[in-house]
Amino acid sequence: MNKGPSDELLMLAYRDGDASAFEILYSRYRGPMFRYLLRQCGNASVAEELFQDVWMNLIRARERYEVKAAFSTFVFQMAHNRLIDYYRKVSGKLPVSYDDDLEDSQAWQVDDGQPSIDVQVDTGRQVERLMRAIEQLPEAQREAFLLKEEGGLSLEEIANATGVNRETVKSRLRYAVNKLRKHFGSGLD
Amino acid sequence: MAKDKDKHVEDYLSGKDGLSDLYAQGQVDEPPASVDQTILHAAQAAVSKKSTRTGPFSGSWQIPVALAAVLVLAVGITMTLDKPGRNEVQLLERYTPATSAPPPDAAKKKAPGEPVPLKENVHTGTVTEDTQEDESILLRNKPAPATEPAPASAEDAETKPVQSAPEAAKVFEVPQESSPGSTLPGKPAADGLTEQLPEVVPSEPQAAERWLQSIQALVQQNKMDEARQQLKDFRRVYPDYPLPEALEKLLS
Repeated sequence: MNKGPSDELLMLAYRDGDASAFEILYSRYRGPMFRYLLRQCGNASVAEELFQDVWMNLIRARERYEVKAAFSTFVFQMAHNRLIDYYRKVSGKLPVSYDDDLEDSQAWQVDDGQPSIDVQVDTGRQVERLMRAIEQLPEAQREAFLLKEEGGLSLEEIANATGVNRETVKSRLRYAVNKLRKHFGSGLD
Repeated sequence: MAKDKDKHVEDYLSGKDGLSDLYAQGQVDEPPASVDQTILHAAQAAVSKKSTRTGPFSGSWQIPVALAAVLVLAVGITMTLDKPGRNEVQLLERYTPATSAPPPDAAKKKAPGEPVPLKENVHTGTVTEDTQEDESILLRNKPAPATEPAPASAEDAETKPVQSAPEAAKVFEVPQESSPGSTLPGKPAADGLTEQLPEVVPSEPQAAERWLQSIQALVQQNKMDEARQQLKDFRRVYPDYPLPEALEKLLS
């Protein structure tokens, strides 16, 4: 995805005192992480605060950094943890969608193959509709989708970042994708 | 049914369904520049802070440098004190043959062991203490050798600063007896330090004048023989020094 030194090498260089390595790393992840947090919390000012907290935590934790996983997994795990803290602070508990015992039974009733929007509409409107559809996803499913899209994480990496197993991640993604397809139908194919 | 479920997600993960492409077109939101600046500044500051903690004192380089400077200074001072007054001793050796004992009060002012650099006033012929003068000044004002003849005139006496040691001893002999409260130099103190110090010679015209005053006092006391003898001694020491008229008659 990125040309030049790997994320892990850059983080090691920053750990050892190279501030310019951090700048490269930050330029790679600032957009994806901000959008992940923005879409998850739905509020720009809160997203900015969470975004800043995540990077400050990363700066503080730099001396303990070791390459145990992909840097993308590491940094999005920090973002996920900060987000969970935010959820608990706001409502006192995790969103219901994070309870994996609940089955989203309605998810499979939507994929009837019929497009719910006009496939001929322009791309700008399609993107707008997609974003609205993403907003309506349950937090856990939306998170899995965003980690895949913004962070480029694999199922295993999403599982590591969010602290669940691979099958749970796959299940969440399945629900998310089918709900999004409901909006666009065969127009996405 | 389960196969259909997996098919959709597999299509999505492999990027075949176009969902990722559509989403990619909406990735426009970014953090504000102020947040970028705050984070980058914090990252830079954290690294700078870390680099200052790597010293042996986990603080800064100033502490070891300051300690080294203090150590060098202490060693330098110690070495200087171990060789007390080498330069001063050389100077004293130069002055000793041509000077007489210092005044007692001058010796009292100095603590034992304290070197006493000396400076001679060219115009008055006095030798005074001056701890701030360097050696070059002292050498420039080095007194005349003891074997040098006495000046031929009163003007020469003024420009000739120091008498030879035997003559100077004679000069001080009489005034010391006649005026006990005088500040003229007496015998050196018993301690070795004072004995090693160069003798301080008062101004020659001043000494001659005092001698003459003492002779005049003898005349007033009607001790004419004694006064005459003193006057002859005076003339031997100061052959060209102008005498008062009364004493001139006494001598003739």
